[in-house]
Order: sequence, then structure tokens, then C-alpha cells
Amino acid sequence: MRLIIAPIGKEGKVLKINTDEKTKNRLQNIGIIEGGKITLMQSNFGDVIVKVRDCRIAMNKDVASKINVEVN
Amino acid sequence: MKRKNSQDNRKNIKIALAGNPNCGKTTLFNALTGATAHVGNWTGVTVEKLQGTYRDRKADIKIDIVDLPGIYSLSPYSPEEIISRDYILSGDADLILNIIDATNLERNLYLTTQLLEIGMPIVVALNMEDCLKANGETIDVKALSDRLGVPVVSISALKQKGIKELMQTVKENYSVERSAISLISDTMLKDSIDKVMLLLKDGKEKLFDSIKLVEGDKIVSQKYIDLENDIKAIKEENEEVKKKYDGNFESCVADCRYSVINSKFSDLITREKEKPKVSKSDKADKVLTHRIWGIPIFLVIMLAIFHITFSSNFLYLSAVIPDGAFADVDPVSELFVDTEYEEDEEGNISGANALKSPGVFLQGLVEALADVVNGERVVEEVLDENGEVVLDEEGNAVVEVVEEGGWIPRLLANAPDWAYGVICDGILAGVFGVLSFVPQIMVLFLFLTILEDTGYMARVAFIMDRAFRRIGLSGKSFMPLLMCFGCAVPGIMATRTIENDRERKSTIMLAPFFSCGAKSPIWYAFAAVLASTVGWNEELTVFSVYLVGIAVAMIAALILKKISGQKGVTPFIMELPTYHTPQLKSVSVHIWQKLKHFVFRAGTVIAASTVIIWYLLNFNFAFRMVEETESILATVGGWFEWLFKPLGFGNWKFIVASVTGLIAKEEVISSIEVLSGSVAEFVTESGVSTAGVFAFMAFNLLTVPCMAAVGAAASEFGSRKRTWLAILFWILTSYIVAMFIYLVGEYWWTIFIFAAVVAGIIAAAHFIQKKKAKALNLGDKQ
Repeated sequence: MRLIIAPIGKEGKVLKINTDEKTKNRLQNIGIIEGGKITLMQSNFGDVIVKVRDCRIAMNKDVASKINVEVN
Repeated sequence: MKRKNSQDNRKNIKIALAGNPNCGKTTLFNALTGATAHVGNWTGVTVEKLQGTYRDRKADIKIDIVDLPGIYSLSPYSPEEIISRDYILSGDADLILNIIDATNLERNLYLTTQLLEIGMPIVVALNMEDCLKANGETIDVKALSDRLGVPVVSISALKQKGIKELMQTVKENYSVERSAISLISDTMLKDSIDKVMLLLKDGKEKLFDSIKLVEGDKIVSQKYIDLENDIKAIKEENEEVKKKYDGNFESCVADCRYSVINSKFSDLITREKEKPKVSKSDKADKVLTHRIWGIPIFLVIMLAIFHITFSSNFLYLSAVIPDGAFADVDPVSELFVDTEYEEDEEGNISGANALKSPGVFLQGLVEALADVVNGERVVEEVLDENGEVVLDEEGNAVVEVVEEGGWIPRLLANAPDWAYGVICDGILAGVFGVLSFVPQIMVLFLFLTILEDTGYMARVAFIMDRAFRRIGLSGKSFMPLLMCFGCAVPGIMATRTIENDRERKSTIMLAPFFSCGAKSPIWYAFAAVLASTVGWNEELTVFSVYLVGIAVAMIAALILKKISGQKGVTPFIMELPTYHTPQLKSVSVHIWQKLKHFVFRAGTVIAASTVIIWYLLNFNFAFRMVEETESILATVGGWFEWLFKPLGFGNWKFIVASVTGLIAKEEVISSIEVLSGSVAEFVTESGVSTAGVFAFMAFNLLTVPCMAAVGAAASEFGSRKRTWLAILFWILTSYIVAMFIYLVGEYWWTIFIFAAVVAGIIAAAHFIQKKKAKALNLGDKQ
């Protein structure tokens, strides 16, 4: 499912990052990689704050909606 | 003799601090260098890096420390990251001190794995030892050091623990040769990296370059452009990457790094207890970045800051203090309270019952100092009973001193007119004019620095992102623009955090529209005049100037977006640091640097320019001292009066005041004072209408900023053409808006003409955009 509609506070896994190369690389550098753990902490109309490796990372809706996650 | 010896033994080495943003880099820098830090202007790209010196007690070595902007990776994304990377690779430093946030080991090691690929001495500082303990975690430092192959020292920059050991390790290692190693050379990339290495000649940074070539790094690829096809072929051969990563080597390299880190280092951390799922920071964020309340909360915080900085009615205490309470206080108390009051016909006093805010108090303090040093000396001719001037034996008028004046005017009482003029009316008036508002800028900066230091500003960028996106910018533009309320120079420099070139340049173009601290004296002075002439509320007048600036910035941003034809805005991705209490040291270092900058400017550029203005105002083209109306400035200003007629202030003094603002915006008020004695007189004697005065304020708000800001913009643009375009843009914007204000203020029906023109401009912009889009499409097809 898309990150923006993931349940808040539940840990999940990044399945696929469908952004352009440059953005994907940025996400990787900051710690968001395919297969890595991710938790949605907050969502403001699609703009999100996620927890990845104990960091809080803010993203706007465009990016967040291109990240597919899996939450059990 | 002994001294010479110790001089010879003293070595001078240079180390670079590299690390992720928010890893405590700057805290460590401050802990190491204290107040020795200075902002260095560097050759090549004009770039600001902080440099300071660490001195050992034994003083056998002097260590220069360069603080670089925080980076996540050596594949740079934003301009400030390029600065860091370029510096690290330049080899200027003897050693890289890599700071790692121990509470976030994996992500921080990502950069470390890249630094290891450079063949330079590296020492790792494992920071936030204290936080780690508080979390109930421990890291096996020895094993970490063994596995990385470089020394690791555990420190706490905040509590200044382990700093000595760290520097001792630096001293032991800076001259030890270290060959580059890569932790990802055993992965599926091995073959590709090895083959690329064969292609490269032996030399510096062979391993680093090879990995970057495999990764497809643009800058390094440019360096080896002749190998382009070979590298492509090598990459084609790697079936595994093709299968697993769709041939995307950049992703593959990143992934390999993380999996190596995961497999090699994750067992070094031992946790006594599980971390709470929701931290204190998360709880604070629930409120401060709330989707509805986030922005109102921010606005309230900003209003409070402006109140503390600029209000002459602190906490609105005048509501409870009786009128006239402070009408006759002693001179010392006058610094703390507002003593101005009005008396109506029945003798009722209103006013003189407000406390000054800290910012206004400090400003008063500097003004009091200015008065002691440069208070005007007033001398009057003595008159006899008939009102005739009394003459002495030699036929000169007898004078008496009405006011003693400050130290300098007293000292120069008998000096020639020109010397008195240059020193008191020129240099000192100008310099104190600048110094008098330094306190308020400092107070404003203090609060912005505190907000920044706590980590709140990153949240503000996040909550503002949505609104900024509408005008073609991202939340990243927010902080630089907010800084412009203090001073456009650091604001313009802060645009380096914006990754997208167009957004960065647009942000720089908008910078002057956010009224800086140096411009605020203009608004206060003119608001006071408008209050006495047409009864406008002072605070509202000033506030409306700020609003005009913001409104113009929004419209201009939209127009710039339209012209560029770019669709969409760069994605917003930003780490939100954990909230923490601001540190006195880092805040004070920051403020101290700003203060030095302003005082230095007051003593140099401004002092020099006031002398020039004073000269141009007191001499004619024949180099004779003349009345002001016949001076060079009056003559030249007169030539351009027609140009400003449509703006309502076609008067040479207004023009001169605006032009002097180019040197520094403080100059506008100080030259008005040199020109007319006071702002009130300046307005009344010129006969400029209220609409004209407001147009003048708008013009000064929006026009070309001071030279320092133009210089900063030029170095950020990196192109002369772009700089001139920006200057033209500022002139046009200010001219059009000022004309709009004057004409509509004076003749309301002209608003229809403006509406038609604006519609025309929008249509034109739309047309240009379409044309561009078409050209782009054609280019794509080819």
C-alpha cells in the first residue's frame, strides 16, 4: 500500500520506491531503502513524518505517495 | 633562544569535520575552538566554511579545524553538500574527523563507509555517549574501531567529555599514512569495481573514483569522460545488478552499503531495554506540527519574538499602568520606560505608561551612548534686549553654549567647520546610526538561533511546505526567507540548503522583499511622521510595510515560476532532529559572530561612505564648500527627479536617500538626517503627499538591497548575467509597486489601468511558458 495511507504508529517494510532516480538516491542516503523498516508517525493531509532507523524524516505528499510499504 | 625553539617545534595541522546533519558537529566544533572561530572567505567559489583553532595546553601543536556543512553521503544533492565534498576531496586537510551520532549508528556509518574509500587519515568521533547511556545502550568501541580500520574515540560534545582523548588521537594519526579501503568490495559489485580500477591510472583516490564511476556519479564521470564507453560495457556485464536492481548501480551501491553495515556492525550495539515507540520528541511533534494548529502556533511564536524585539509597549502593560506614571523619571529609568505623553487642554495626560521591550531597551542604551559621545553641541548667538546680536571688540558675534554636546563635539568645538562636519555629522552620525539598531537585530537573531538550535525550524519548514508549494517553492525556502527579516546576507547564503537550482535562484530574488533589520528604522521613522501628519496608527503602518513585502514576494514567486515554465516543485525530504534544549555556547558563538560582522561593517564601509556622502552634500563640482542645495548630490539628484515623479517623490533628497541605501539600508535614515536634520522636516519641506511617502517606503523595501546582499546574491548566482537580471528585477518590481501605491492612493480610478496591465503580464507569462514548453517538447522528441 502507499505510505500515505499506512496505519500510523505501526512498523512496516518499504517494498518499492517509485520516485525518479535523484529522489530515490536522496531517500537512500537519508536511510529509506527498499526492504528497510519504516513507521508512519504522522500524516498532515498526505505530508508525512516517518521513523526510519530511529530518525524522524519529513516528506511531502508527492514523495510519500510514491513509496509503497507493507504493514502486517 | 628558548622561545624560538618552541616556535620551531610547533606544528600546524588542519583537520576537517565531516558528518551527517544534526550529529553534533557544530557542538563539537564550538567545544574545540571556543570563540576562536571565524568565518573564512575561501578561494575558488566564495563559500563560507567555519574555521577555528584548537590549542593544546602544552601548545606543541596548533590544530586548525574546518567545520563543513552536514552531509549524508559523498554523492552530493544540495549545493552545500557539494561544498563539503569538494573540500574533503581537495586534500587541503591533513585528517578527516568523522563525527558519528551514536544513537543512530547505521545511518551515520553510511557516510563513514564512503569516507574510508578516500586514502586519507581518518579518526571517528562517536558522539552522544551520554544520550546512548540514557537510552540504555552500549556500543563496543574497540570492535567498531577494528572493523572500520580507523581509530574511534567515544565522546560527548555537549558535556565536553572525551575531547582531550580525541585530539590526542588526532595528533597521533594525522601523519600516519592510510590506504583507502572499501567495505563494499566483497559484494556483487566486486567485479565491476575491480575492472574499473584496472582502467584508471595509479594515483590519488583510485578506489574512490572507481566506486563513484560504478555508481555513475556525475562529477567524477566528467573527469573520466574518455572512459565513458568502457565503463558502460563493464556495467553491462554485471548480470546480478541488472537482475536485482534493473541496472541501477546507484541504488545497488547504496543498498550494498546498508547491508554491509547491517551485517558487520549491528551486533556491536547492546540494548538493555527496548526503546519507547513514541519518544518525547514525537509527542511534541504531535502538537507543533499539527496539521491545523501547526501554523497558528508558529505565528504566535513569531509575533511574540517580534514583540520582545520591537515593541515599545512590553506585554501591553500600559493597560494596567496608569497614564503618566513614567512622565518624570530620572534619566536612568528612562532607558526602561516610555516617557512620551500627550496632554490635552484640560491637562489630562495620556501615555508615558509603557515598559520598553528588551530590544527597544537595548536600542535606547546604544542611543544614550551615542549621545554621550556625539551629542549635538548647540551654540546660539547672544542677543541684547532689542533682539540684536551682541558683538565683541573685533566685531564677531558673541556666542553662548546652550548644550554642551558629547565628548567629540566638545573636543572639536574650535576645529574648522569641515573637520567638525566630517567627523560629527559624517562618520559618527553614520556609524551610530548603524549601531543603534544592532541590538534589535541581535535580539531577533538570538531568538531565531534558539528556535533553530532546538530543532523547531526544521518542523516549520515542513508545515510551511504545503503553502510554499502553491507559489512554486518548497518548505526549504522558508528558513532562508525568514532569516531575511534579520538580514538578507545570511538569508541568501542559507539558500544553499535548497537543492533545486531554479527554486534557489527564485528564493534569492525574493530575499530583499522581506524587510531586513536595517530597513526597519526607515519604517519606524516614517510611521512616526505619518502618525503625526495624517494620524495613521504607527504599529499598523509598520506592519503593513511587512505585509506589502510578503504580498509582493508571493506574486513575484508566482511570476518567476510562470516564466521558468517548470512544472512541480522539488520533493521535500528533510530529517527532523530530536528536540533538545538550546545550548548557550552554540547560540552565543553564533550571535557573537553576527555582532562582530555588523560592528565591523559600521566601522568600515559605513564610516567611509558617510564621509563620501557628506562630501558630495557639502561641495559643488568646483570642489568648493557650498550650501546643500547647490551641492553635487543635489545637482545630480535633480537630474533624475522626473523619473520619480510617477512614484510621488520626485524630489532630489528622496532620490539621494534611496540611492545611499545601496551602501547599506541604514544609510537611508542617516542620510535623511544629514540632508534635513529630521525625518519630519524631510517630509514636510519636500511637500510629498502621504501616498508619495508610502510609495517611497515601498520603493525602499523592494528595490535593490544593500551592496553586501547584492554581493552575496552574486556569489550564489555565480553568474554576472544572472546578477544583473536580478538587479533589473528588483528595480522594476520596486518601481512598479511604488507607482501603483502612489497612483492608486492619489487617484483611485487608476486601479483599473493597473488591473489591465497585470492581466496583460499574466497573459504574456502564460504565453512564454507555453512557448517554452513547446520548445522543450520538441527537444525531447529529437
